[in-house]
Amino acid sequence: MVFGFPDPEAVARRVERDPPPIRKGARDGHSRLLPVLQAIADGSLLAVCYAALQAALGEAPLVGPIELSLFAGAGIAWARRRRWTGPMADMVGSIALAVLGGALAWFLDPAVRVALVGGHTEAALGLHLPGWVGAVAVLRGRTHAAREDDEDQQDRMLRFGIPLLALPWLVGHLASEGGAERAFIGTAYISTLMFAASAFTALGLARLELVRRTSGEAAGSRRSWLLLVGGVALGVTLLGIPAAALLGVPVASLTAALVGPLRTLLLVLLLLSTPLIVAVAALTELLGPLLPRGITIPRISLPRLDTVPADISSTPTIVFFAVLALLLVAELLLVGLYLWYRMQERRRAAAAEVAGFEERAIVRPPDEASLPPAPPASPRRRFDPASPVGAYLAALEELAARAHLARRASETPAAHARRVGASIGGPSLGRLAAAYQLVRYAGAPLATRETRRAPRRVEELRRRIQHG
Amino acid sequence: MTGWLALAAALVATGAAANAPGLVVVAAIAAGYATLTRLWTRFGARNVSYERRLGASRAVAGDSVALDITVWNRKPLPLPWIAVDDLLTEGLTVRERPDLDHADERQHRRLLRNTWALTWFERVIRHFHLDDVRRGAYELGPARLRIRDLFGRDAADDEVEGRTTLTVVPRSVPVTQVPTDRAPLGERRAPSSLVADPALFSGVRPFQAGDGLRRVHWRATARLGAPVSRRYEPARGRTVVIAVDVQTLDDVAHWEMAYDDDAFETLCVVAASLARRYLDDGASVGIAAASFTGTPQRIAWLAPRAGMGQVARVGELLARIGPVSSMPFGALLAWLARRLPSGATVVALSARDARVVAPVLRRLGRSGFAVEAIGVASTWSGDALGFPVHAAHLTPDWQHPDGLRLS
Amino acid sequence: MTDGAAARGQRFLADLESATGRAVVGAEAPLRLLVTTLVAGGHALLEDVPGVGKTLLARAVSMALGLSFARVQGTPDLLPTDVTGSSILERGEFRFVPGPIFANIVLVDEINRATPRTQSSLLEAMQERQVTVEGVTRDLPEPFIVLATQNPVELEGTFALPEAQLDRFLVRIRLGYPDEDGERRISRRHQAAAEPLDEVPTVADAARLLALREAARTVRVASEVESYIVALVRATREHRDVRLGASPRASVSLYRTAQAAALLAGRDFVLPDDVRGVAAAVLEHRLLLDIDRELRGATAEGVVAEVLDAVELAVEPAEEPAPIRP
Repeated sequence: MVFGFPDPEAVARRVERDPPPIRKGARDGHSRLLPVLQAIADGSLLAVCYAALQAALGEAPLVGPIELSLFAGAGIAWARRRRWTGPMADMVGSIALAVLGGALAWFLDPAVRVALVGGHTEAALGLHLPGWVGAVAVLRGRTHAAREDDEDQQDRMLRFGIPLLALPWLVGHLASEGGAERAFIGTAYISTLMFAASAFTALGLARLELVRRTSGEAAGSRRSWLLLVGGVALGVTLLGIPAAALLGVPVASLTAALVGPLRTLLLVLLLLSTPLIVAVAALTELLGPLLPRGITIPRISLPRLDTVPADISSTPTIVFFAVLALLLVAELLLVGLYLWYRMQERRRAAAAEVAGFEERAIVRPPDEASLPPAPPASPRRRFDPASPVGAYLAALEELAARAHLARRASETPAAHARRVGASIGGPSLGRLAAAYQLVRYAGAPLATRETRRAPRRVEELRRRIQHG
Repeated sequence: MTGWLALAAALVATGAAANAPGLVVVAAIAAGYATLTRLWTRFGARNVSYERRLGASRAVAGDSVALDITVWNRKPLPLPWIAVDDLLTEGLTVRERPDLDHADERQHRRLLRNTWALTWFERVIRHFHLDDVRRGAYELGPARLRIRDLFGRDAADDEVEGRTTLTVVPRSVPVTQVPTDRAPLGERRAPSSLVADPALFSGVRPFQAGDGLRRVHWRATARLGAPVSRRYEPARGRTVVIAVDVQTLDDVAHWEMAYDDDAFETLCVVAASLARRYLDDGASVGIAAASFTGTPQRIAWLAPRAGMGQVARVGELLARIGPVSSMPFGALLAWLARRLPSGATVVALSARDARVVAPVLRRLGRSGFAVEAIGVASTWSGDALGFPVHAAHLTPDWQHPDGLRLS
Repeated sequence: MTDGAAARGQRFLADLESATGRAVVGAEAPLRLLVTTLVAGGHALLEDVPGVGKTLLARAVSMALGLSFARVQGTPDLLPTDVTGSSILERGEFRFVPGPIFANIVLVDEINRATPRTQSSLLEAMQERQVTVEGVTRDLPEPFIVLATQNPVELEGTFALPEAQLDRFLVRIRLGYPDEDGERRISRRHQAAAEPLDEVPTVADAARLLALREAARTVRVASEVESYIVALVRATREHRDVRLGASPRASVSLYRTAQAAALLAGRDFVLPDDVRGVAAAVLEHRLLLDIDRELRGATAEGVVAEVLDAVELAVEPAEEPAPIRP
C-alpha cells in the first residue's frame, strides 16, 4: 500500500510560475475597433437620411454609407487627437475639416466634376447636397471626442437611431417612385443593415471598454464574447440578403448601392496615387530616349477627372496597371505583415497571461471533473471472469477507461459499487463487489450458482457502460 | 423590452399601410434586439455557480494564501459577460490585483472584480494569491454576480451569500533573554501562596472549624483519637496571564481613535511569542486585552490553560483584537485581579511609558499576584518601579521578525 | 464464530437503538459508535458543546443495558479517593466505602474540570480495570465502561487531558447539533414526557454484552484489511501536519473497533468500509499536531480525512487469479 500527500513544494513551484498582474489601463485591440464601428454607424444613419432626401428630390443618392463613414471617421480621428493649442485651434480645425469633408463629398459627385472640368463652376456649386451631408458626417464624428462617453453615446444612438430610421424610410417610400425609389431602397437597405450591425457591436464594445476602465481587467480572454458580437454582425448581413428578396428590394439597386462606394474608393485611390503615377510617367519619359532602338515604352496618360470611375479602364496603358498592381501588392504585403506581427504579439501576451492563472474547461453537470482523474492507463490485462475475484477485477478494468466510473485508489469496493450504481444504474457491480468481498475478506467459498453468474454480470455491466 | 416590441409592431403596421417594406426591416431589427436581450434577462442568471475557496482558513502573518475562484455556467446559453464583485475586508493584498477598488456600499471593504465570457457549460477557475497577509480576521464575501447580454446591457444580477473567513495570527518567534543568568520570565512567584493543590498531600493538621468532611483524614483521626484534616502543598502549576495594553500612545485617552500601528503590531508579535514560550515551559497561559473582537464583550479574554493547543487559541485572540481600547488598562487589570487565582503571574505588555502603567501594576502586586512588565518602547528596563521591567526588541522588525530579545 | 453471533450483534444494536431512541433523538450515528465501543470493550470520550445531549445519551445507553451506573461530576476539588472510594472509621473499625468507579458504567461529566491527579487516577483504572486503594488492589466489575464528557469550548478552570491519557479512550465521539427535524422531535418529546429517560426500557444485560464482546474478538480480519489498518495508522505518523502520530495502541484500537462494527452490522468478517467508518473516531484524538501547522489551520479531522483519501486499498491479489494472456 502506498500513500502520498499534496506536495507543498509543488504548490510553491506553481506560485513561482504565476503570471504578472494584469495591468490597469492596458488597452485591447478591439478597443481600437470601437471608433471604426462608431464611424460606420454614424455614416450609415446619415446615408439613410441623405438617400431619403435625394429620393424626395427625385434623384439617386450620390454618396453612400461607406463614404459618409469615412467622413465620420475623419471627424472622430480629429476629435480624439491630442489637442494642439487649445479650444480655439480645435474649433477652427473642426470647421476646416468639415469644410474639407464637404468639399470632398461635393467633388465625389461625377456631375460636379464634369461641370468643373467644363468650367461651369456655378453649375457645380448648385449641386451641393452631398457636400452638406459630408460636412455633417465630419461634425457628427466630433460627438465621439470623449472615450468616457462612448457607452452613453452608443446607447442613445440605438435608442433613438432605430425609431429615427423609420422616418427617412417613410419619406423615401412616399416621396419617390420608379428609378429614384429603387436607388433609395438599395442605398437605404444596405445602410440600415450596416447601421444595425455596427451600432449593436459598437454598443457591446463600448460597454466592454467601460468595464475595462472600471475594473482594470484586460478583455483578451473574451474571445467568445467577440465571436458572439461578430456573429450578430454577420447574422444581420447574411439574413439581410434573403430578407431583401422577401421584402422585394431590387437586386440591381442593391448592387448599385454596393458597387457605387467601391467605385468611389477606386477614384480616391486613383487620386492618392496620382503623384506616383506622375513620377512613373516622368521616369518613362526620361528613360525612353536611352533605350535601345526597337524597344519602346508605352506612354502613360493621367486619368481624367471629368470621367466617371467606370470609364477609367479605357484610359490608362498596361504599364499604369502594372505599377498600380505593384503598389497594391506592396500595400497589402505591408498590411499583412503588420497584422501577422500583431497576431503573434497578442498570442504571446495571451499565453503569458493565462498560463497558470486561469483554467478553463467545458464541464457538463453533474460535475464529473470534481472526481479525481482516472488512474494512469496500465498495460491492458484480462482477468478471468469465471471466478468472483477475476470477474470483479475484469469489471474494474472495464470501468477504468471512464474517469467518472473508475475506482479511486483509496475507495472501497462497496463504496465504489454504490457510486457506479448511482451513476449508471443496475446492481451488477454491487453484486460483483459483494461476491469479491465474501471471497477476499470473509474467506468464504462462494456458491457454484453465484460463481456461474459472475461472467453474466460482467457482460451486463459492460452493456450498461456502453449504453449509459 | 415591451417598448421595443411595441415599436416593432407599430413599424410593421405603418410599413404595411404605407406599402413601405423598409419599415419592416427596421421593425425586424427592433424586435431582434428585444428578443435577444430578453433571452439573457430571463435565463442569464440561472444555473450559474460561483465558488470561492481559500487554501487555508488560518494563516500566520506574512504567509501567502491561495485563493481559487470558480465560476461555472451550467447551462447551454453562453454568457457573453459575467462579472463577479467579491467583497474583501480591507488589508488583504491580492498579488494578481494590486489595486483593488473600494466598495461603495460597505466600509472597510474592497472589491475583487472578475469578469468572464463563458460559453455553454464552461467552468473557469482563477488562481489568486493573498500575499504577505497581515494579522487580523478577514472576511471574503458576499459576492455580487452581474450578467450582461450580448449587447452589454445589464440583464440579470444575483447575490451569492456565502462568506469565507481567514484568520491571520501574529507570527511567534523564539525568545532570548539578555543577560542570560537572570531568572526566566514568569518564574517569579507570588509573595504568598493562597491556593493549595489537593493533589499534593503533605500531611495532617488539627481539624479546624470550616474544614469540609472530605478534608478529614479518617484513618489518622482514628489513630490519633482526635479529628485531623489533610494538609496540602501549595499549587505548583504556573499560571501566567499576558495583559496586553492596546493603548499605544502616551498622551491619548483610551477612547480616542489614535494609535501607533507599528507599536500595536509589535505588541501582538511579542504577546504571541511570549505565550508560546511560556506554554513550551509547561505553564498555563491566558491572555487579556481591553479590546473589542467583533462581539459585544469589552474585554478580549482567554482563560489560562496549559498545552500547546493553547498557542492556536492565543493566536486566534490576538488576530481579532484591534488597536482601539475599549476601557483603560487599569480597569482591565482590576478586572483580572477579580478573575485570576491568587498566585498567578500577570505579565503586562505595553508600548507606553512604564511610569504610566506602573501604579496599577504595583496595586496588582500588592493584591497577591506576581507582576512583570514588558515594554516594546526602548526606554523600558530595571526594577526601579517596584516590579521587574523588561524591554522587548523584535529583530529585525515586526513585519519580518525572526527573534525576540528581552533585556 | 457462527452466523448466529453476527445476527445477535445486529439485533443487539437494533434493541439498543430502539430503547435509547425513546429518549435520544437525532444522534443515530453517535449512538451506533457508542454501542460499537461498548462491544469492543473500550471507553468513550463524548466531546461537544453544552446542550447537545452528551449526558443524556450516556445515561440512556446505561439504562437500556440494565447495568449499574454511577455519575461523577468533574470539579477542581474532586479527589482521587472521591472516585475510587476510601476507608471510613465506623464503630472503631475501618470500612472501605467503594467509590463510583465500582459501577459498570461510570459517567464522568466534564472530566477536564477534574485536576490532573484525579484524571490520571481515573484513567489508570480505565486501563488496568482495577484500583489500588490504601495498598489494597480491587478489581472493577465486568463490564466496566467509562463514558467521559468534555466541553471543548469552555476552557476556564479546566485541565486539558494529556495526550497520553487521551489514548486510553477507544473513541472520541462528537454529537453535533441535530438537524431541523431532529430538533423539532426533541422539543415534542420533552413536551410529552417530563423526563425522557423514564421512557427508556432495559433491553440487555451484562451477560449479553460480554458474550458479544467475546464474539467480536473472533470476527475475521483478512490480511488485506490488517495491512490497510496498519497503513492508515502509519500514514498519520508521516503526515506533514502531525508532530506525534497515532501509536501502535491506535492500531489495536482500530482493529478492535472495526471488528465490533462488523459484528453489529451482522457480519463475521471486517470490510475496509468498517475500518473507514470508525477511523475518524479512533484516530483523531490520538494525534498531536505540529503547532506551526495548527496555527495555519491544520486540524486532526483534516489529517484523518486526508489519510483516508491518500492510503490506497489494494484490490488485486498478488498471485491469484493470474491474468490471462490474450
